[in-house]
Amino acid sequence: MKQLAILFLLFAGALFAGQEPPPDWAREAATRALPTYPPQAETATLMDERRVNVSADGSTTSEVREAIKILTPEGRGAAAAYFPYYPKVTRIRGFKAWLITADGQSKTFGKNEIADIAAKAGYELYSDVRAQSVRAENATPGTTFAWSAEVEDQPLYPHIAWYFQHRDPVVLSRLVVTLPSGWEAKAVTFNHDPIEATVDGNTYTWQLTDLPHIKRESASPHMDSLAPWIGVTYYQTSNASAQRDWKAISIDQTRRDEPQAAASAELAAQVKQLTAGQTNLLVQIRAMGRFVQNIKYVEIATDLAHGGGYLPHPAADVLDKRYGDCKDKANLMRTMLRQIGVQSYMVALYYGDRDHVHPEWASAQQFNHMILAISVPESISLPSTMEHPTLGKLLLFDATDPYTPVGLLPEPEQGSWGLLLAGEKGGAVQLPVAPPDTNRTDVAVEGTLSQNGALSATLLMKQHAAAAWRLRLLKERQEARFDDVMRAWLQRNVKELDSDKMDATDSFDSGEMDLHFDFTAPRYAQVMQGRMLVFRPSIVEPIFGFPLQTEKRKSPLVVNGESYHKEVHVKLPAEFKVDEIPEAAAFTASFGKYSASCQMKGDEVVFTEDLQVTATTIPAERYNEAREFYGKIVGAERAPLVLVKD
Amino acid sequence: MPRIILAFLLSTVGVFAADWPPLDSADLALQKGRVDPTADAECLLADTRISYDASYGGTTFEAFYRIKIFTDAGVRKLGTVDLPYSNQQKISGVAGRTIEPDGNVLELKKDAIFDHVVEKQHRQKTKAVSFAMPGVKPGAIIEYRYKLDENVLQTYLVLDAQIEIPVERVVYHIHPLPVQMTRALMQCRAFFTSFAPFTEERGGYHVTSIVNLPAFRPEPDAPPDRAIRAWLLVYYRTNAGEDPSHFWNLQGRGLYAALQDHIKVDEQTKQLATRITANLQLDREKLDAIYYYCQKQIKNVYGREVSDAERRSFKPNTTTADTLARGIGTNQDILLAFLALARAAGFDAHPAYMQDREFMLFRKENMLPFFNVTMAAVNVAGKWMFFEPGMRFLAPGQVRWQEQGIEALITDPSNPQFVVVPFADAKESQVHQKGQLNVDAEGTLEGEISETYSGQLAAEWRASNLEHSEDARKKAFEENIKARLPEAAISEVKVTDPADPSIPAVLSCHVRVEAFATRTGKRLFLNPAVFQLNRPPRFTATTRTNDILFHHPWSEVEDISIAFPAGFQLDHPDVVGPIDFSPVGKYVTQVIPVGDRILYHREFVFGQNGVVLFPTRVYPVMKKLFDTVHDNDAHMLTLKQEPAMADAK
Repeated sequence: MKQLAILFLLFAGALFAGQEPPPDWAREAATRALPTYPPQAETATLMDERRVNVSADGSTTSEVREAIKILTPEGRGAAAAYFPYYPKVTRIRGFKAWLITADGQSKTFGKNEIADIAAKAGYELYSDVRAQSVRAENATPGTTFAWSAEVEDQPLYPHIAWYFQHRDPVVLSRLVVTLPSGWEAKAVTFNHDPIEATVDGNTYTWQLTDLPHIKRESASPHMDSLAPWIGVTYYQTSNASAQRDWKAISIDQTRRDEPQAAASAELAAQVKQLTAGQTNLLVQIRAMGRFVQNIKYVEIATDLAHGGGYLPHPAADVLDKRYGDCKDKANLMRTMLRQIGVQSYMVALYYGDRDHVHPEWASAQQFNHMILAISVPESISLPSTMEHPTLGKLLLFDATDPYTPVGLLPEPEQGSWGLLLAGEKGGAVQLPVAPPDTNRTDVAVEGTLSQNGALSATLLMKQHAAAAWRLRLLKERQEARFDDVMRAWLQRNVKELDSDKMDATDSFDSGEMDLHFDFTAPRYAQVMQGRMLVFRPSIVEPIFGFPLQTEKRKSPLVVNGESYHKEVHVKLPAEFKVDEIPEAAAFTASFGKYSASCQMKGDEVVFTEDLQVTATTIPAERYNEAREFYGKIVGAERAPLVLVKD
Repeated sequence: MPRIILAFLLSTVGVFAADWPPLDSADLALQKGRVDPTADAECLLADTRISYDASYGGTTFEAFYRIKIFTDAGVRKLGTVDLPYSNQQKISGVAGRTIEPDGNVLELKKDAIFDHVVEKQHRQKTKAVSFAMPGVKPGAIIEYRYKLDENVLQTYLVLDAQIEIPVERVVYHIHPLPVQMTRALMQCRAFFTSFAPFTEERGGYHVTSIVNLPAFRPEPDAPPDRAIRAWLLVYYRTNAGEDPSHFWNLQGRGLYAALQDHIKVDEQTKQLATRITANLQLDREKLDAIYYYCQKQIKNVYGREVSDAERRSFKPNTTTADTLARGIGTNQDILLAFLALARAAGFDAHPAYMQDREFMLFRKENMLPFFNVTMAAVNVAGKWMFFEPGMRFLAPGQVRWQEQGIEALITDPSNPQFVVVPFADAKESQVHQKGQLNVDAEGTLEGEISETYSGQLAAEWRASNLEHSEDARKKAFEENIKARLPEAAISEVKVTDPADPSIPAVLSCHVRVEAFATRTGKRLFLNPAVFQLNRPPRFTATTRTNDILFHHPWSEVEDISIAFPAGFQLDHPDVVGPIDFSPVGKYVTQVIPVGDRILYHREFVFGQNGVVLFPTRVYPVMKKLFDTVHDNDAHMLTLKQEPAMADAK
């Protein structure tokens, strides 16, 4: 689905001034003294401003200004402007850019240096969004790149999402909205204390200054959940009640979507074929779900200026062509389900950041993805089912993600807010979060250690739900190299793999994926002085590791819910006895618990390990708790067992 | 140098006839690939028809593809087509269809074909035709065709045969240029494949084919694509059967003459050369001085040191006198200025040309003068030395790894010759890693570590850091250390300036790593090979398709000193045995206890005598060698607690 957040950046046809010098605002911004920023800050936004004039008919004229200072050689690429627009409804009345060097010399970009490009994302086959673009080739540190544009537009919705910052520091960021007489605006602030507008007559100004650099860190939330932004809604004061809340958007969009769900004879036949001989509802849903997921993902984004980004193609066409995007697939599945008398509803959400959608701002601009909520009997209870107050039990299903079966939700969608498109009964809903035990990894190792340190073993790893999802994703991306990647993981844990056999078995419908290794490692245990054997009884560490960092954490840590269980049995050589054995470990954190033990049972050493973590976002100031928790786990996994010759 | 234009597309007989080429029912029934039974999809036929409009100066490609889809993954990967084209090109006749497993045909509808402008700037326009094939599912066959016209007469055609999925049959129909125009006959050379002899068919086309090509899969440490991937080169030559030595003699003389007018050894150049080499006695000292003068005093117009304003006002230099007077020039200008100054200083200096190993492995007998590197060759006491002063990361006498071990054509007005650019010895391209460290009773490691690069390793480090700020260079080093020691707290990072190849490349920092050594009740286990920790295995694949090519010979020396805590003693250190794989290299480790310290020494040398290219068949041995070194590097030492201390604990 085409996210309509780009609506506020619209243009058509460019007008360019000749070689006019940089305007005063750009020169002033370029000479502004800056504080000392951390070395990671590659650029600083000196000014980012948009002034919007709203007409009584809802059309807008805007002035956009931005000035960026290049701070390091790595920041050179930021000396560029990229301005998306919808050619059919947007008119660019001016697009100008300048480069001002540290010593005050300047360059005005000419018409010949401005490109008009297809603003097509990599996953789109075609999009009617275009962009005006200009790039400075060699903006050395100290240079300021500035640009401005004047735009006439017809926004689809009376909403503006204004992002005060991206990653680099900002000196001044400002949104100014001037409304017709008798109109007013309100804003909701995210990732910041409420930002109050200064109001002068009918002009509202929201502004932030001196925003610090946001450090890049692993496992941190998406930038939209870190940097401050506001969602602005404007409306006629006398008609304030007509503001669209979630329910109103649901009613409107459900009405628009409905004609797209007309079935054809071919569609009915397809459903019949898929469900032939099946009476179990879940089995029927699974058959249809797998069919739709395997339809090729192709996005053809047309008529976006008029809401085309939200409207699925007719289900019969999608079936006929066997390709479509997320909303096409969800709509096709919905239409197919109707053939067996099952009601379902489209659900708009944001894929990639579970904290991205804020229910307190009723705007469709927050979404980039579409899934389906299927009405199911109360007796069906799965990790992706939820109870709706009026619609009863709903089974959430992503008809686009080919790695997640019916009954589960992809990890990035769990817990996020979405918009249930169910007419009068629709509205914002929070998607279910699978309990940690659903995303389970079970590792079993059976091995024999020889007196010269060689280990012969079988390793079986059963991954469930999100754990399997990650592995499937890795398999698809690595293609033929997947086996090598898995072997490399084993080799990092087990020295000198002499012979190894690996099988991957994907039981998709049950959400499970298994890895099976048979291997020998002639030097797994290190022989010391010919009388001592030292080895790690935990054998392997988790494939995807732990989020450990030594420097002070600046952003929250996103932790996914999961559980991990491992049991290792290694038969020891008769000539040796245990000299030192790892101590048992058991500890907890606010978000999880861990235990490990290592014991002798007959001639075997048995190592067991259990980890359970609840999905959460840990504030940066509490990162030490996570670091200590994961650090202890690493210590327990690496603890050696020492054997000496009897 | 002849122009190479890549003909990027493939195709079949009569593709623009009203009907599609006949389809064999066996193809429709096919359940698995014939070339590779495990493939998600297979190209059954890739057929290209190439013709020329000699009077207009244009080339036409008519392409047809037939692809069988076997799996859901094949559906996800294939079936969308993007055909970019430029101002000088036109795409027409796009058509496609999907044949479902039951034989039902779904046509690609015209309204599902998007012909759109990708980018428009001034008079330049890049367009693309994009479409998604309808009804793609496992078992289906997709077919599409199009015609690409371009207003360039392509006399050198590079025709790719191997693509990312297996290909059962590639067919090329070529209508040769008329002899009266080229005064030459069409030649075709196959690389890493063999093709059927050309036969003539209706309309004056010559047709050939290649069958059963596996999918092309890149592998690490492999030769360049053009040296391992199947492709054809079609060109025109009058001198079929010509002796290569005669061919290269003509080339070498012609190339010398082409640059001769640009290299001016006038009075001012002589005075400048005298000034640069004043008080220097040895030839090598003089050449180094001239080299550094060109590298540091002449700005590279495409370098980051040049501002936009300077670049805009730059006017091309006609001769080396212009370059030296203005102090700015292109890479080639700087090279020619070096040649002029070297000649002015009395050296026998010539332009030399080569095809670097990253572009294509050069074979003289192919008589294909596709040179992509120009360098300066200087005869010093009967031995040729090579210089590239335009490369700011190279020291004098140093060339890029891509150019080592390759024959360079040293141009000359009468006697051009090929000389192999020698490999630098493994010991000249060295990383020396040092550590002065302490480990405490809890296993925490702390101290100073450093890396010093020389030779090719230094050049590679400089090249990748030249454009970066000091902070970014420090961060990159920090990340490199973090990859070895993920739990390290790093401080006091220092890195040298990569823009100055006259100083060694040294990177250093202070590290503190908690739980570096593993503590048990009465022992501490530690791995002294600090710089080797957590390195992934170099080779992971169990099988190998392509030859193995290492960039250059190199050596690694690690000297680590670790002081251990009071109350502990080294418990009979075992050392993993040396590995002698002469003449290619060696691996040696030593542990020397000195009081309360361990001195750990590791040396790994690879590629001696320029042996850096290995045939596929030695892969198991190569993998075993690197795996053994990798595992030996993980060897632990034991510090045992003295009995009194252990009891006290």
